[in-house]
Amino acid sequence: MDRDAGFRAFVDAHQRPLLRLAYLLTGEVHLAEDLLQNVLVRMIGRWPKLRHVDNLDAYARRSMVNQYISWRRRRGSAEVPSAEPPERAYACEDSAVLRVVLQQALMRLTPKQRTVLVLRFYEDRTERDVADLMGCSIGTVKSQTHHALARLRALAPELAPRLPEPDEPARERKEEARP
Amino acid sequence: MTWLAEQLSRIADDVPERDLAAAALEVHQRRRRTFMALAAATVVVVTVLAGTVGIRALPARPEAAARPSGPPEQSVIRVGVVPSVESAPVYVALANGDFAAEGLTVKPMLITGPAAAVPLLESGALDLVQTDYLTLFQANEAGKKLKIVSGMHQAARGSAAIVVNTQSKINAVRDLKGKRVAVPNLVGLGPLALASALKRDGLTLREDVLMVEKPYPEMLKALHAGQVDAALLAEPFVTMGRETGHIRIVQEVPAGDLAGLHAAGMSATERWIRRNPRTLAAFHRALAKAQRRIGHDPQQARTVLPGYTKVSATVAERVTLGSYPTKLDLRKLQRLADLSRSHKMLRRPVDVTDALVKGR
Repeated sequence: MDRDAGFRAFVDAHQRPLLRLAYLLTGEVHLAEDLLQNVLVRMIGRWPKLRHVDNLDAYARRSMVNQYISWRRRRGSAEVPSAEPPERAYACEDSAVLRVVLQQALMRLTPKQRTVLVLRFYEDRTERDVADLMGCSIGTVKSQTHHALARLRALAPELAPRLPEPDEPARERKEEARP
Repeated sequence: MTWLAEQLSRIADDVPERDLAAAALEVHQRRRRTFMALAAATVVVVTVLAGTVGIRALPARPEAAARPSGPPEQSVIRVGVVPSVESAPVYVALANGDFAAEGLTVKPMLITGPAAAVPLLESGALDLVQTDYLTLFQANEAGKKLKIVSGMHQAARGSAAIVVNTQSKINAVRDLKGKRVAVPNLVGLGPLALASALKRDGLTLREDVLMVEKPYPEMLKALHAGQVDAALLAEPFVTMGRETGHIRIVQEVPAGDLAGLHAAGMSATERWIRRNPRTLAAFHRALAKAQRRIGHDPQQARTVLPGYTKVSATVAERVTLGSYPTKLDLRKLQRLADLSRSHKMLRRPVDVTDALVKGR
């Protein structure tokens, strides 16, 4: 089937980065797979219409972010974060340990805060791109980023020195000033 | 690359390789199939509903068409009846046109008693004959092939009685020793009721009384003329005799172990039943309808009584009717057969289901 072949080609090309994004958003392999599969099933359902979409990858990403945020909202906060971050009696310099601390702190953010951080810093997107993907204004992206970083610092003070300053980088300002 | 970006990337490295294309396609196909099945089911349901509504909206077919049996084999039937309260359903059915509605013309013929009518049934002079059940059991024991086709009447206390003239010296059943007692037939339920009453006073039917055969309508005259000393009389003649001051009741029957028994039904020969299944079914339906009419409104029975028993309407208002159940109670029938055997009126035990047309 032509339709299936086209869909397969798209999935083969993009599923790896999409699944990584889903994993960063959900923090769990099974949830990540569920999320991506939902997105893919939706896309195959309207595949003939999607022929006119230039950037299918961006479409999939936007669809995933939207589904993830509304999905989390619908389910309420199914995550029950452990009351306190575990006591740490180890050398904070160990990067593997810091990564675990970061991962735990990330899961204690709101879905939107986490999405903003992942899109801005992991995917290294501009605020404008992030606003596009999330369907919100640049101002919202900025404030969500600010809150997310502040909360990460509060949750894991040892990460603070390594996190970006809330009100940089200058790159964004320039971009903003352009239009 | 910032520290955060690098750490996030390394976290993302934890996710295993997966090919989700096949799974997504499969889910999609399954959803499509479910959707198609639902759509098909919806179409079916809508079609059936529309069809049902459409059929309901059509004019209803006449009820008679629903009857698959076709017309009766024999449209005119002759029915032998005893002129008493027992045969009221036949006349109620005639008065209401229930037989005509079934395509039947019923001609009632008065008989003196069930036993007397058995030969008429056998010869084909009558198609159906009113019977008490003991007469039928006795006839079958004598080699006849008769069957009960419908129940008709169930006796109540007072729907029959042992009566004497008002001036008679007979005051109790035991005074009947050596006396002449009128019964409608020398076999059947009449003698059984008499024997049962005598036994309670220590007398026997065989040795202590002389039975004289008289039809009910002639018993009052026979008593008056001194031809008999007592009579086993049925309604409406008991009430008629009392109203005119001629008779006195010695003992109401059926009493004791005979109380509440089926007293009368319709019988036919096996040969006639085999040849006329639709006629029989039509007759049974009409008779049952009349029995239900009386059940709802006993006045219907009282209204027809003067027409065939020659009693006045005033008398008819006061008679003890008994009841007219459409269904025979097999246990009561069996009790009647067993009692008859204990009074030595049957030589062999009877299984009453053998005597019944199926489904009655």
